[in-house]
Amino acid sequence: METAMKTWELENSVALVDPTKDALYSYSASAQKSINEAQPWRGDPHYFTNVRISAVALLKMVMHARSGGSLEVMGLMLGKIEANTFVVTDSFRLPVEGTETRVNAQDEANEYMVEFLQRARDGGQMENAVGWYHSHPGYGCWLSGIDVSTQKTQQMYQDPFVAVVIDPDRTVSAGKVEIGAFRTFTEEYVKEKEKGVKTTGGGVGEDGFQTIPLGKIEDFGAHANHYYALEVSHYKSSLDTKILEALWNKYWVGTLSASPLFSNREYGTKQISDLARKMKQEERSLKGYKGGFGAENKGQLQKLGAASGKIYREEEMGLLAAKVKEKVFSLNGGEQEVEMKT
Amino acid sequence: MATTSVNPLISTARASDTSPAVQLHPLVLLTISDSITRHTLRQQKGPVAGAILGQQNGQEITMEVAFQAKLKGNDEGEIVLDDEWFSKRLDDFKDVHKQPQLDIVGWFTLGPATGPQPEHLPIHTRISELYNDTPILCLFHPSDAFSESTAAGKLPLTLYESVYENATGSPNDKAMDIDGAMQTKALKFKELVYTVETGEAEMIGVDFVARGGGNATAVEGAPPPKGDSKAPEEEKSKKGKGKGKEKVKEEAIDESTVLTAEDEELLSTLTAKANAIRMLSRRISLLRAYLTSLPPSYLSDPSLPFTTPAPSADHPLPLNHTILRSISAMLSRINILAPPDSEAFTLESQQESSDVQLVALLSSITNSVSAAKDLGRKSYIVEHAKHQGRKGGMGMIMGGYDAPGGNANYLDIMGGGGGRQFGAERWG
Ligand SMILES: [Zn+2]
Repeated sequence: METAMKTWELENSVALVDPTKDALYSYSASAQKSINEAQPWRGDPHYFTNVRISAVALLKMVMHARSGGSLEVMGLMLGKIEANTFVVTDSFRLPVEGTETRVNAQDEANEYMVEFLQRARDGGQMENAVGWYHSHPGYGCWLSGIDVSTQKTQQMYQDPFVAVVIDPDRTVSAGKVEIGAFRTFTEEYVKEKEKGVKTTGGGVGEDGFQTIPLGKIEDFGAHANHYYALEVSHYKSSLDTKILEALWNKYWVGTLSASPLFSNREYGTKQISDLARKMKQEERSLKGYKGGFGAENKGQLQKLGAASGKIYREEEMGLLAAKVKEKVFSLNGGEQEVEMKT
Repeated sequence: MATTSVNPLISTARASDTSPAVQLHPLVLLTISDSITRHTLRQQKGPVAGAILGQQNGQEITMEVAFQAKLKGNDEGEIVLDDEWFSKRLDDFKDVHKQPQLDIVGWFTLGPATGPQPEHLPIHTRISELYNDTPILCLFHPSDAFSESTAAGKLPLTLYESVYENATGSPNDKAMDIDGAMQTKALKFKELVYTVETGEAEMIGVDFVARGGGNATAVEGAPPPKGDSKAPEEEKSKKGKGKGKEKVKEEAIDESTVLTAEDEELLSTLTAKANAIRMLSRRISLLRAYLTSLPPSYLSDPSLPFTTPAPSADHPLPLNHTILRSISAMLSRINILAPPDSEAFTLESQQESSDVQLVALLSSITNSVSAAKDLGRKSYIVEHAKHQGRKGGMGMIMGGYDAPGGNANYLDIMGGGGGRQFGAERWG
């Protein structure tokens, strides 16, 4: 039996792993410990600039976010710190879901979390928790007031810790993962910043256009300068690459058969009606507008234009999928006849 | 290990109708791959194995999530599950996969393509004793992972269902007696067919990680593990060796200066579609090639003998009735693709398309309004400045705005009212 076990173990030794290319998968507990002791992020509010997420962790988070439907879901990320980067190696779900307020109901999840982490460690995953993720179904990746205070607490007691937000609805409609990662500033830093030049603005919104629903805009505006966004990228192992290549040969059918226009109708409608409401608001404010070129209103119309452009692009992408399908499979039996007649 | 002889653990019974149909999700595959990579790079001891969770509805089984299990050696020198850890971990996962409720449907480990080995049995029997009467074994074949067939789309794994067979009914019972322990009923494994299933978000996620360039080299600027200054040089030489991939990355950077994010998005969607169509066409030509290579049939030529012709030099491929039946079934299904009420379908798809065009129209109107408002504001500034300039006796028709006093005027205007008549009010 001893030899049998050896032969089984031997299966591991087949060279599936490239130590240089897959270096992110290694883990040194001592190195992480010394980083955690040195705390190089202490003095620098912008210390962390990047988040790198493993293929498996990303996929788990995206699927979790989508499984929640219109409810927010939440989970934790395991990982390590390398220079100015959070390396997320794995993620797991927490048994909480609900509205914005309930997402914060961490107590419920606390016991689960502690036990889960302990078992991960017992099972050989030595990583610490380096962040939390939650979903914003349909309203974009940013931090709400509650998210900001949660993250501030985490950074105070759990640092290094990062907040990740995923929008599953936009993920499906845009056909690519909509994800954002954020770190909050300390109260003192925010005050200092507010005293200083106003033009520095918040960390988000600068680097990308975010459309935020009318109902959430106030929340967004009130807290936007309390945090900044980190650059998110993902990584995969050489074995992942091989498997993904093989998978493509299986799921290419899905690329052709998907009907985003249909499966995302609800989301699209929500987007349009939100834009319509914003438009109404803008119209009202322009009519009742007496005091010259108010700075706060400048560019609002332009923003609405950009938002409508975004909606159009998403719809167009869906139509494109339908057209391609029609052309390839000539689903529309009558089409040829119609063309003949004309 | 890699015996060429018949694996005594493989059932020789024919595939039966009672065998389950398995839908395998990519997350399970990536979890297995992740376990292997981590296990290797962290030089952990022992084999890699884990649980697979999914749903079971009669003969249909899904495999949706997986986790790596903690193993230990028992007194007999066998590798077994750490039972306490395992049952708690299983509960952890069941607690957060309630809609729909997932439960253990099988387990994974590494093994040769020839099939399960005797050392896999303790875990398998333990799972069937405690959690699931008929667990499915997912055997990942490391030696196949980098092979041609994987590149061509065959996943390097095999799924097995386990069955208890009467040892006497099997022609292999002699071989098993040598193994000992087997008496009347013997645990045997039967290969299962499976399909790969992806949910919508899962597919986007998989596509996202598949397309994105990032390999897992260490973060640049991170202190090298041995703490010397070699790192930058290594980094350079790595880049030099990194041939294709690095070049692709550089090109992508060049493209990004020309293309907007929206262009890129459209481009990648279209590329994915084009690749899928190419794949479809390749599959169809493969089928055509197979069909043309077959010997002529007596159905189309009555002079031929009423037999199944053997493969010859001209027609090297054997006649496979299963394939032929599938092709025929597929052909007969093509008609169903056309909607029964094509007029209504046309109308609906035209409506769909005009809806999208309407969104496009509204979007461009919004942007026009915004541009018009902008123009109104600017033209007001110019007009006003001209007016001011004339009043001030400068008499400049064209250059009022550029006049030395222009900047001051500009600021005045910013503070003054009246701009709304050029604003969006007229449009709103
Ligand atoms: Zn939130």
